[in-house]
Amino acid sequence: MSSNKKLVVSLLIGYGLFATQTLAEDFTSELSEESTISFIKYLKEKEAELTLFDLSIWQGELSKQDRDLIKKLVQTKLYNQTNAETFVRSLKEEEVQDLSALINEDSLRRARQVVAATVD
Amino acid sequence: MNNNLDSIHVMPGLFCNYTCSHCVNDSGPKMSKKVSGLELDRIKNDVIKYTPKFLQFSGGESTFYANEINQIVAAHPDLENCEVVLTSNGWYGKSFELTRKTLDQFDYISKITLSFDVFHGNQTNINGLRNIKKYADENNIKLTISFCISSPVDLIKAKLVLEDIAIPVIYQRVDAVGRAKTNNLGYQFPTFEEEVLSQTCPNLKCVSFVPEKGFSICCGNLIFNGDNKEIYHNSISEHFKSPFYQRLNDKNFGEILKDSGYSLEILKANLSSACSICEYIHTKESL
Repeated sequence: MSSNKKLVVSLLIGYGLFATQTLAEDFTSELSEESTISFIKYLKEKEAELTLFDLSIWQGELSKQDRDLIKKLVQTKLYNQTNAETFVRSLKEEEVQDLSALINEDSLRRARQVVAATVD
Repeated sequence: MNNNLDSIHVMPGLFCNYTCSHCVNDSGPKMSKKVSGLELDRIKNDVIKYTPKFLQFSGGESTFYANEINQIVAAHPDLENCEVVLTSNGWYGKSFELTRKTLDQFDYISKITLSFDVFHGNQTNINGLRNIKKYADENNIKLTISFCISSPVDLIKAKLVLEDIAIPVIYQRVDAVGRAKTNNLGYQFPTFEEEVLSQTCPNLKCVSFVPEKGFSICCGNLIFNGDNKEIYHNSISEHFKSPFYQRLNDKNFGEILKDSGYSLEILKANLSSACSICEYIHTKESL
């Protein structure tokens, strides 16, 4: 088990989300190394308000479509890597499909042109 | 005159016929603030002095201030090399005749940015956009739509609302300022994005004028969420000399926080945008 995953296990137990090391390790085992890093940040920031329900979105590995959407969200500066992953994990499958189709090369190009907030 | 200035942005008045739930400056039917004669002279003097590449007008609803806008535009010494941009809610799109009557009031427009999104409630109408597009095409005016989003999921709503209208759309994250703050409509960040610490103010090359206040690179949180008199000035040159501008011009937000002795460990998710972190810095200390 990597040092990042060991840290996740200790955080999950420390925050009282899992009673035993075995349960925390089971939960952590399915996360990729990249997701583990995003998850650590999520855990630390949500420390005071986390419940087992909040963790449910982190169960399971990301699909290729999920990973592609995360990449697009980061490229368009809508989120950084951690938040893009958290956001994508919270979406329904059809929302992932819709958003993936919408954030195409054309909107990527336009998003890079937006440099400042305008006011209405 | 100043290589650091590309654009002068003027809010000629805060009256608006809509009361949008995300409005940055509480514009609405009850707002009467508008530029005075003295303020108009100050703006014109700086337009002559700085000859900006862009003159941008918003509000309030900019189409209710045609007289003031025409005066400011007329003052520009090199209009052929200046893009004049109106940000507007497009209320006049109800008919082509009203569109023509409203936009014909302006002596010179290069581009219209239409605010068009779910926050305008039932005021948004796709047919209105078609009338404005027709006018823009006939008069060689560029047209874009600015669509505000609180979450990337709003992009799906945008696709549904805009259908197949052939106008370029710029998506803009809503910042927690003005009515957007009151109504909790700021863009949702699950965790703090530390990338914002290496950013500088996105408006360093654009100075805005707000009636009854003055010139400032801030056109959002600091101007409208409070009244810190050290962030706006009577002229652009005075603003450029101010400690507020100089610090934002010289340093990124992480450096400013460190200089002020703040911990970078305890920053919350809602401070992930440049404007929010800037407001956090400047409301916790006096300059």
